[in-house]
Amino acid sequence: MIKEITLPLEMKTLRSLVAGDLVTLTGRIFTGRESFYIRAVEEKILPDLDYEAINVMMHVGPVMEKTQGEWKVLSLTPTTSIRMEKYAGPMIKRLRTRALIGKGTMGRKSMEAMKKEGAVHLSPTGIYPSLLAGQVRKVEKVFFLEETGPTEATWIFDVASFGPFLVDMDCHGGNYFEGIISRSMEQMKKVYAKHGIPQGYKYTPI
Amino acid sequence: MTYKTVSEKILLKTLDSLILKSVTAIPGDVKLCLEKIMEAEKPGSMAAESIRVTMENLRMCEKESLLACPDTGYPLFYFRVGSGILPENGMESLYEASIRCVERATGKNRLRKTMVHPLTRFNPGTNVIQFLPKVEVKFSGDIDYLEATFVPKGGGSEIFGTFYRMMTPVDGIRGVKKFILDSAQRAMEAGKSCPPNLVGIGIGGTADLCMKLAKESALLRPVGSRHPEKIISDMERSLMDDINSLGIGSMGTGGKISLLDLHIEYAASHTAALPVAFNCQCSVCRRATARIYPSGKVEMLDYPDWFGRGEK
Repeated sequence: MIKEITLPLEMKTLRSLVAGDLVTLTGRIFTGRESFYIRAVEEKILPDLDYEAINVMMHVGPVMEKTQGEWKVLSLTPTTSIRMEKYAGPMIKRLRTRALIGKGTMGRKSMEAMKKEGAVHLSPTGIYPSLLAGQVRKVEKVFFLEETGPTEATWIFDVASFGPFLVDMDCHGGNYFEGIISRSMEQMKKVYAKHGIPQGYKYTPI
Repeated sequence: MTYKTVSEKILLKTLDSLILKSVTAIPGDVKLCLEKIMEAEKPGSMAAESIRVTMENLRMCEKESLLACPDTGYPLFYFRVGSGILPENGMESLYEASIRCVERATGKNRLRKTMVHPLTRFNPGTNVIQFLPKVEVKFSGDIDYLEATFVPKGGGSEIFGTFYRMMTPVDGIRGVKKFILDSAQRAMEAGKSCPPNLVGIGIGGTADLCMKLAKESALLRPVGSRHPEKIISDMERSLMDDINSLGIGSMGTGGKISLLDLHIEYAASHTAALPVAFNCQCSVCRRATARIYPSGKVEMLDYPDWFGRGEK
């Protein structure tokens, strides 16, 4: 069953989400990737936004088109979040972002920040950029377009039934991927044994 | 030697259509394989849902000419030229035509503005900057056409699915296998490299040749193809089973199948060395190929015969 969430994401809803849930989002989100974080942390430049009203961030570089003065999303799918690991935790704390949408999962630092501050990570279940693009009702605003170009800019999207996304990290420390990864590590031991690869084999140092 | 020429106009037109086809419609061999994976996964599982929604998107993209993935990545061209074939404006026009068509496709938003200066991060907005688009040319004595392939290579599979290691002969085949298994695990866990992946392995050669073989076997060999030598094809099959047994699944969601295929190519090695390279392609394994004949006939294909083994 897919949980339909209306944004901004409230604490009560947030706490009800557990790793493994599927959700869709309706409301406003903002986007960003490396340029957003580098500018925010190292250059102290932030888009002038009401981060309580817009508290979901998507890691994405959309393909955008401007026709007759209106921006339109042609294609968007989340980009890999782990690249943002260094800065995501501090930014969650600073902006009180309640959900990050991005491909894959994040590391321990982000997981701790999400638990402490109250936030989740949402990842795509597959690759569906055209479905997601069709769920953007309106492109409301863009920041840093001149400075960073359309791929790295911060866009404000008004989305409807956006998703589905998988809650892969919840705000209680639950992680959907962790179990799958540890099972694959266990299986790897059997595969090593099959090929006669000693556990903990070290390549010849050169 | 007398040369037969391929017209500039047809070359440009064909490269334009290759770019458009590659970014909107995935190749037949890949589509077929994704369908098989969907059938193999447990109905109602997250992995089955993952493939289902990916396929739904792909059908929509093909029908409405939309991008299969916004990350159109690195623009890569591979030309295989018959030795009696010459582009109308000279061999160098292959580079110029590639640049022109990438610029044009980027202007029309068929390619995302992705390529930037690595240090200043300057984005010219054209995808044409310092050696990109990348153009590989190889020649073949026994073909009477020019075979052009365009691959938009996404960042996920390139950034998280690239590994290289210089080993020594003491590490041997076991070392090679360990490296491939560990690399696959690292690339695919939590869906970083967008699995199910098409993994390419290069063994031997210099560092650049080793990686080139890994990349080309991932990008250019069709799904289901096997290396002609038994020692290699056996290794392809067995490593594929082993990696699938890890249960990583589509986008890392947990499933039976994590690979579209696994291809290995090798080159001779220095007697003191054992280099191995790993490079992978993502589940929307985009590529498009065309054979251009001097008569003006153009044949559109799903994959090239890059290694000249008669694959068609």
